[in-house]
Amino acid sequence: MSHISSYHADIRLQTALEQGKSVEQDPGWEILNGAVWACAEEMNLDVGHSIRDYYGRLVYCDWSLSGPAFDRGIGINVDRETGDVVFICDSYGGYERIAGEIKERVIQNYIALCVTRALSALNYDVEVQEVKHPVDGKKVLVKGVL
Amino acid sequence: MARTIKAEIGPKRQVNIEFSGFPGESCFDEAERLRSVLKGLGLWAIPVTVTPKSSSQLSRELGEDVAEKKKVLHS
Repeated sequence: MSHISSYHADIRLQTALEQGKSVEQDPGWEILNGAVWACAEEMNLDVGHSIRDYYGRLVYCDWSLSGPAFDRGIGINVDRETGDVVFICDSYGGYERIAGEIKERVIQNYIALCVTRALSALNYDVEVQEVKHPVDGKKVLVKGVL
Repeated sequence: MARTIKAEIGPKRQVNIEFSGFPGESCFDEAERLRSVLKGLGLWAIPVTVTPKSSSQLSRELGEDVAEKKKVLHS
């Protein structure tokens, strides 16, 4: 028998925490770093470690993504106790859409990197393909053959 | 037949995964193995729907044509 499953994906970096290690040692930390840099390349953004709020005050974070059209930036923090991944942004003044797009792109890249790695770990030969759709946006297709 | 897993990752955290070529119920075991590896990498895949493939989908996978049955009226 074969089947088709549909999942909702959530990011929580808990593997290292459960082993008594720091969250920076979690395998997901490196994957998240890769997802952030991939997003920066795709959307022509800069990666840093701080964002600014409406008043121009600096807020430090684990990663930040900003660009000429979005100089305040969006920040990504990983909770050191729970491993929860939190996106922070002062979107007041019309930045909700761009902040939302960046957030969803980082998450999509994270999922694609995880699925690729997981299939490789299960000894599948993996191919990755990106499909851009004018309405649905970007889709990533990952195929593993055993 | 090769065992194949195809994942389609959309922009709204939705992931559709198609399992093909697995004998018996082993595709469900493989789905659990995959979920477990993903969880170790920090990705929690929460199942929304699980749909077994229809006989016609399975036949297409095997490269077989589905012969449509005609109804015959007996008088």
